[in-house]
Amino acid sequence: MNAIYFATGCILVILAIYWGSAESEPAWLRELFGRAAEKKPESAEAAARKKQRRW
Amino acid sequence: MRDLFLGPLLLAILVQTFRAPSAGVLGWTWLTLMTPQKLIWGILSSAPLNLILALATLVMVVFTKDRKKIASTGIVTVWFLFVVTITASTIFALNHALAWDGWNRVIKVMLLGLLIPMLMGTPRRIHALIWVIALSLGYFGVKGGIFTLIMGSGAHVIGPADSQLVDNNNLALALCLSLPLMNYLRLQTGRHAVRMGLLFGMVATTFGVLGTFSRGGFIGLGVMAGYLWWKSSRRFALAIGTIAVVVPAYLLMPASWFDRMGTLKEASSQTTFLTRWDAWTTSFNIAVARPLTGGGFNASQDPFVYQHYSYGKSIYATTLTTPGAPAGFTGGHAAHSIYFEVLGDHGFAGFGLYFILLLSTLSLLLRVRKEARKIPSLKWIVELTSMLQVSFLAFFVSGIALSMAYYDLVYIFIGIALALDGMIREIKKNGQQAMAETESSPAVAKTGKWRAPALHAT
Repeated sequence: MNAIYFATGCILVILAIYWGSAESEPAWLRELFGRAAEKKPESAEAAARKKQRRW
Repeated sequence: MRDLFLGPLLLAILVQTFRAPSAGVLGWTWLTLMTPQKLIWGILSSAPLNLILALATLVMVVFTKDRKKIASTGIVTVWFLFVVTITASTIFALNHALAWDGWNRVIKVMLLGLLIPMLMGTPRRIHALIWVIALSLGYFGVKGGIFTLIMGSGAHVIGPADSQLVDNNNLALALCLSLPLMNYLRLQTGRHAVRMGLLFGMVATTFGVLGTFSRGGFIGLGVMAGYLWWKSSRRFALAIGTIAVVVPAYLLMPASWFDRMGTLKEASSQTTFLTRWDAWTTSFNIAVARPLTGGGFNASQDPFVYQHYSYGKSIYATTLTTPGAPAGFTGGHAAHSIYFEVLGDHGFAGFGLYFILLLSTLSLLLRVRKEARKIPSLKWIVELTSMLQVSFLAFFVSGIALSMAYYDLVYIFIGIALALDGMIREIKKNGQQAMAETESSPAVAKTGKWRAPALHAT
């Protein structure tokens, strides 16, 4: 149990370090660590596609 | 087994440091605060991992173009003068071995603090740094909190052996400092699950602080809760949250914990208070005798220095029984207060500079907060500076009775304040788009120059 806790802690820190220093951040790491305001705005094409699907 | 797991992770950080030096600062912060190298066995536990990563980061600072100049503000000047003072006090120290040992440790962490405004000057990097701090200290907080709730029999929560946090009081202070940062992350995170995880971490860490049985930590928690309540716009929700922690704590904490906290009422007659008063008086005596240089780092821990500067009035002279020791032997003791620690170690000059440094950092945080308030997209800076102020408050209050004046996190906080100030200056000079660009464009990292406006504002 102790070892799993230690490993989880280390992996979370490593992911945070990678997210903080990588040139292009992976989307799933942005989802995990990023600020809510950091979410990229939807592109016009994506919005249009979504609208099309809805109709 | 653990070192086989940790080794590749550290190697990955080292490789990433050569690609992006900010990884070195983040990794260095992790090794300093969580000290994973002290939580393993095997060859890596004795390897100078911190030194290797620090050297790699420093080498890369020289070669990278992705660094910023530190603005020559009053804080940097005071910090420089403080370094000069502590170096002088170490040269003229009463016990050179103890003093150089302390100097060596403090200079390293100050270097880390200075690298923050140079390498971490973008929103994502600062946010990642706060995550690393919160995860590193939350590791002990959550574990300690769960341990306290499960055991509940009076077993104390302590930090890793051979680290600054091995003392329960020091651990309590470090956990108190981390709580506002966890709250900042909780306020900023978009994902519900992460927010809930952070809330759980905060509650568990609060129990972790209580589980240390530290009275200083308990007072720090109380002051922080009161300050947050006073400043909060959601006082009712905060009051409900506090009750949700206090009631289970009241029901779950063992009788020995209440006995321990009950001693706060008659502090003046407690042996622990009398021994602290003894240490404070001795540190003050050292400062009066050597107002410009003090006794050097850890001076009061030298038995002969302590005995000499207590001028025969120490209670240890009559209570301490050391076989073979001469009459009136007091032994050496820690200063037991951040205020008297700096006073005894560096005299009145160092004491003045130290507190000017901390108070001007607080003032800088206020200024940065005021500027950030004017720009809606910088709400995160407003919240971060507020939470850093709460952490400083906990440090000033809990530090009254703890020898943690040189705790690493304090210098990391000063570095963060300088980095935030640098960002605000940059935004005022180049506009917000410039900051968004450093965040999103890899090309900027390579050339260090501004380019066409980025698509995504931060």
